[in-house]
Amino acid sequence: MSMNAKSIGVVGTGVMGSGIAQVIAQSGIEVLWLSRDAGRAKAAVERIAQSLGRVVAKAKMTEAERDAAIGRLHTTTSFDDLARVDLVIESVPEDLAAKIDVFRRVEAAVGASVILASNSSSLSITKIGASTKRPERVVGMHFMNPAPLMKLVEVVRGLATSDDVIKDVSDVARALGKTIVVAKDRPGFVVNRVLIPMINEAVFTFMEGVAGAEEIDTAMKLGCNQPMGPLELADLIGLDVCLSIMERLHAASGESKYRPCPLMRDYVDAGWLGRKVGRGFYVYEKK
Amino acid sequence: MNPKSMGVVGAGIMGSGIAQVAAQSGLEVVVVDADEKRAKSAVDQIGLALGRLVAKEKISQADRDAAVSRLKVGKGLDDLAVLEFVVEAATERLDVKVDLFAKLDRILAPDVTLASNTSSISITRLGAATKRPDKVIGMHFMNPVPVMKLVEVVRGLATSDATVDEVVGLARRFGKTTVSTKDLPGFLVNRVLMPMINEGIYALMEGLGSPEEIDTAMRLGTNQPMGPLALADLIGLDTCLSIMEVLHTTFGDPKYRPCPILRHYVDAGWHGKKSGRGFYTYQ
Repeated sequence: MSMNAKSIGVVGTGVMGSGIAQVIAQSGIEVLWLSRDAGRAKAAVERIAQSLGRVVAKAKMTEAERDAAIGRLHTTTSFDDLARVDLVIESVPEDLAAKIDVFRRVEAAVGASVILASNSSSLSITKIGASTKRPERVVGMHFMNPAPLMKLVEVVRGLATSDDVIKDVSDVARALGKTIVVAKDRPGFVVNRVLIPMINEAVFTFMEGVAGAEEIDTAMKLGCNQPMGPLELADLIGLDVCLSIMERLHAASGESKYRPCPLMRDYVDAGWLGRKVGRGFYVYEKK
Repeated sequence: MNPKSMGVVGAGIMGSGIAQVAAQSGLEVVVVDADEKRAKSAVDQIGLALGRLVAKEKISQADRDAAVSRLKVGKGLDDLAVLEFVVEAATERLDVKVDLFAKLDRILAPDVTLASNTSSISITRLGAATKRPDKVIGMHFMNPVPVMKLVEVVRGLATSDATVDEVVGLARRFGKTTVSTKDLPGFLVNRVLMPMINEGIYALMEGLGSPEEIDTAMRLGTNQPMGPLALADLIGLDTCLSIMEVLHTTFGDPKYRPCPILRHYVDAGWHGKKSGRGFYTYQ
């Protein structure tokens, strides 16, 4: 099957789900957007409209293009409404039980040929696939945050994922304007496997007092031309997200090299989760 | 103290770069190397490099000529005796550096600061090889020195505040931004960067993707300017391996163990860009 997706289902209205829905709608494809409750869905569409409004204000998009993109976002609270799509992308919170529940309910609502993709950043695609009756049609489609800006999609091949499915979702990702990298289903795939332990090591240097937070970030920016220092990047990603990826790498591999830095756990325990709460390694002004 | 003259020990890539920025900043510089021809060649190369900057209209001919006139080749360590500051940028081997520091300590005036450009050897250990551990410090430049803005100023256990202030001031005269760090293995940049590169190599060994795919993922997924494998090739796989070995040995923590295929590549002589082959092949 060569897929020419006219409509794609998206499950989840968080930051990643919204970003993915926006990218799809801007690419001229209809989005069937499933949310737990209608209020959340409405608010999510409103946020995209505002964000595209800023793009229009910068003259990077016309008013008509914006309206057309918004018109392609069809919200629903019923799994049955996903019956019309060829591909469903799940983007609910990073909790295996929650994801498996969503996959089972989607599978019950859609035809046998529909591809079920997960935007998981670190859970096992193989395990999610094994919870369905179509593991060969379950695949990872890992968008980066913010999805409308970041060019990469990691296409993750579970143990049972078929070549056709890899090809189809790769084509879809390219149609969305993305560059794809096909990765094996190992914890963290490629980006988080390499990036998050680097952030963790920077937190170790901070904990050990090798230098202050600003100095660590300055050293990495000026010493290896990274666009952001590891600690400010951790604050942007969210320290809870960083911790949960390290825990997943650690637990899944049994490798002590992935043990989370104790100080990172302290920050999460304190509720200092980074930019989104106004405090992490740095303090941010409330908007 | 605000030194007007500086000795550079070691005329490799790093020593040459340090001599260049020092001469451009107005210091009288004497370069010495175990091989005097190498020191002479380094000074000649700096003259040519500055000539290219003149051609690109980045500096004036007069500035170039003045910088070149401030560069001298020394015959041996004794020629550094009258200088006000010395930076060591010799081979990255503890025995070599300890020997140099002990000799320099006997030759230099007692108030002269002795800095090392080491990327991974303990400053505290080098300080203990002298009778002036308070005046021994790390001054770790990045490669290429004239381009990269960072200097890690590394405080050994016995390094004095006055010595730190002096080196910070000197690095600023060179137009650099400084970050002061503790004397723990790898300091900051290599401690954070090298394990990331090592993990990128593990991803390759485990077949998560090809070198191109892993580098593309890291560039597009995190906005890093180079992927970890292309960066490793540029730094040199032998250098990456040796820094991982220092981290591994010194911390005694298995998380720093070098990836087995990094060792294989080095064993094969595939040291990266400089040897024409590493994770990529170069013309």
